[in-house]
Amino acid sequence: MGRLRTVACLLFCFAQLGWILSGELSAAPIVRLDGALANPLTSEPIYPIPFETGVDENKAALGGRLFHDSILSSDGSLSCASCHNLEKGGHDGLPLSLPYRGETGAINTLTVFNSALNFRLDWRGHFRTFEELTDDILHRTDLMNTTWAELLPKLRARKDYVEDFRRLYADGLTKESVLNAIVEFQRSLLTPNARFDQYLRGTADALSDDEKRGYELFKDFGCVSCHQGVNVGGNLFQKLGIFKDYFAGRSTITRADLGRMLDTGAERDRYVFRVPSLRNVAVTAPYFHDGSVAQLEAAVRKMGEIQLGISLKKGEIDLITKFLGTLTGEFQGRSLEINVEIN
Amino acid sequence: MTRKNWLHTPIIVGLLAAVTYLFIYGASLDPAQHVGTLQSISALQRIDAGLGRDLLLARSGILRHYDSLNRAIAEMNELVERLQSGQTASALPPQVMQRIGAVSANIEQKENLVERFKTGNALLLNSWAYFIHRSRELSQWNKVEGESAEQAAVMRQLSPIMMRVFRHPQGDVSGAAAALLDRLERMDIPEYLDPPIDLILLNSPIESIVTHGRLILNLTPQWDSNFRTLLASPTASLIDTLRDSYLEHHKRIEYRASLHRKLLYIVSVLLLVHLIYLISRLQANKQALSGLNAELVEEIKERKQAEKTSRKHQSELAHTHRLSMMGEMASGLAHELSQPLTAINNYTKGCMRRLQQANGEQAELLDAMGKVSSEAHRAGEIIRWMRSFVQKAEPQTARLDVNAAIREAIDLLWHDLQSQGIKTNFELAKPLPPTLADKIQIQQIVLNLVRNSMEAMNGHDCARRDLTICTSIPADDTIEVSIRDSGHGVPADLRENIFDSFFTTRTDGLGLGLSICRSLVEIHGGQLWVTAGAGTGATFHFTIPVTTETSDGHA
Repeated sequence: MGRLRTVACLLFCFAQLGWILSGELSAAPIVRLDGALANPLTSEPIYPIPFETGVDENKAALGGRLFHDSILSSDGSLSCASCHNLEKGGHDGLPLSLPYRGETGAINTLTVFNSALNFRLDWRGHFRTFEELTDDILHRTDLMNTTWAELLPKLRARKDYVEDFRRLYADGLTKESVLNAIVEFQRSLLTPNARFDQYLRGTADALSDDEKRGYELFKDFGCVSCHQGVNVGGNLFQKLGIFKDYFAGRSTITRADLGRMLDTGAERDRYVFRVPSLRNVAVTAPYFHDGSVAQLEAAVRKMGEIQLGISLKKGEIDLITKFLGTLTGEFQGRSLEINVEIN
Repeated sequence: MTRKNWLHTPIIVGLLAAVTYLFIYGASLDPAQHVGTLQSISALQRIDAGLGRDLLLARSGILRHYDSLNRAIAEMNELVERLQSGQTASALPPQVMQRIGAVSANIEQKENLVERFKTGNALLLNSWAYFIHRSRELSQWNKVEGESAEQAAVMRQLSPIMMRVFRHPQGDVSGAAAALLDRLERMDIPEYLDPPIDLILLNSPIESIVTHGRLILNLTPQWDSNFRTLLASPTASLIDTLRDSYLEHHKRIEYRASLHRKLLYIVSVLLLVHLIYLISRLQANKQALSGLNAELVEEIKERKQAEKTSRKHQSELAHTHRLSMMGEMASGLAHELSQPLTAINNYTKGCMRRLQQANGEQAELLDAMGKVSSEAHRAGEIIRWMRSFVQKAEPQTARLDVNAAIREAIDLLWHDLQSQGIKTNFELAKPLPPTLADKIQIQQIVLNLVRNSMEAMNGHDCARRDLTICTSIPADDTIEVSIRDSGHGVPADLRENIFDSFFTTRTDGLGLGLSICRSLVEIHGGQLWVTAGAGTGATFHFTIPVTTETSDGHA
């Protein structure tokens, strides 16, 4: 009886095995998915800054507090806002960055406004992400001069920070979350709704006739070849001094003057800089990486000479300057103003 | 079947291990991860295609900003990083990782080319724009005479040549264009104080035209070859290879997973089958066991029956033996019986004489009559014992005083012992613990053994005739009865044989006595054996277990 049952079981097994092996062994079908990643193809070389920043408001607000807190510097004397004054043009208004510990910075301070729209950060485009940049600034001896090992305990001693980070981040207050908060804040610093953007969005009378004429000249003279895109620049590298030597008549060339060559070491990258954005240019004097030009008109003239190989006349310069004035946008619903005292 | 039992544990453990292994290692790719990987790869393809389109548009001047180029590069970098970091697919094999690495290297290379393209493109489009404006204004110069007319002529030649340079940068027109630019530079051009129609013309000294022209001639071939390299960059095919490689990997995983699933099924079925087999065996064993049990019960019943029958035969045999023993004891018993009868007769005669003479005191008479009665009772006892001894009754086990039973039996042999001149001693242990036994059978054993001893001491050469009957308690649960004589003894070589049936040294005996005694002792749960006496003679011992029951039990 038992043996009969065993035999029956074995037969059943073999039957199963046969059925299984006769089945088709085929891979699953390929899943095809299509998404849309559209490229903006506008008729104008410049397009408006979006109103939406896409950042987490709460994290950005927390980052804003850190941005204005000198706890970030080793001796508690410096905050991000010390050099990036958001009440003004998002910069310090000095030719070269703020003197700190007795030494003047080597390069002009760029505005923090709209820096999220640049393809690389820094004058020579050394940094690709805010995280890298922020981390570098925290560590630099001529800036925050701190380390995470020093900074994190200081921050953790602050109940308000600890609580807010615990509320907003799963891991609480860590190097990553602190960086992220500061970065989120920087991403939120866009200045939309400049008069020129209103014009681009279809409000024809947002610009005066002179400003419109200035825009046409801006395009005709070829300024727009480099200063284009949403940020009116900030999206390519270019040599400073195409037709004439920018540094002519100078006795010394500083390290910072070398530009991108510092990163690549290539001779062709000597004096090559990331083309700066012209957004808010009217309120972010002085100009150029060495802050050597205080007036916008003078900067326009110089650009015409060395980059375009043309001598712009005063009338043209005025028109172009007027146009550039329309690129000043709004931060927190208020238009940026020229209230930086020019030294 | 039983010797294979040790195999079942390893089989089941092995099958369970196989099921677990197949379950863990047979997993297919996580669908979400798979879709994520494919999406990343598709996105790479799509973005690369978009980048190619935008590069062409940018080169032709239709796309007038570089944001989309930057975004494309950034997105591709991000996608590759995601693929490399394994965010979309866990544990990609080295060959797929190698493909991702190739795509990554290609994108890095492409990024450098795009940077140079943007830089060159910005300059060149600017310079070309300058030239296009220049040629448009040339028509205004048609009316100009003299040296200016020559300049105009040069410009008229230069513009189409520059256009050819734009279209075919690698052609041989560069030399001609350079020569024309040199000619233009050597000309001395007066300042136009009267403003002509176009502002640009006025603001563009001849050096500007020459510089822009030289810039175009210098940069264009390099920029164009850079652009062609960029377009020829095998990103698309590298991504295709990556995709194929990944799909190959996925197919392999899926195949393995489906195979594992099927194996898992087979192993599970095997496990189940094995369990069913074990259960069926258990069932079969249970049936066999219950069959065996029934047989056993039957056998026990039969054995009990046989035992009963055997007991009956034994008891019949013992009865027969008692009858024959009674026959043999008849003369002794008759004498024993005659004693009280004689006494009765004497007392009765004495009483009668006293009554006839009428001088008997009443007290004296009563005393005599009491003795008569006592002797009559004694005679009655003997007769009753004889009746019960020869009665054919089922053995009756009851609480028994072994000492009393022994004394009663020996009393019956008193006359025979006296007549043979045997000195009888009792060494009875007192008190004896109670035992459950059949009185008749115990007395039968004692009588048989004593009579054997009497016979052994009956020879002429037997100087001393001593018989000693002992009871003792060798162990807590045993009573031992031993009967020692001073007879001729039992030769050592016969000691084992004497208990066999039909073994006898006598000519007139059947040889059943000791055999029956031994079986009676064994029925009572004891043993019967013989040992040599101290000098001459033999000692027979038998044991009876002590009862532990307090009340009268039954066998």
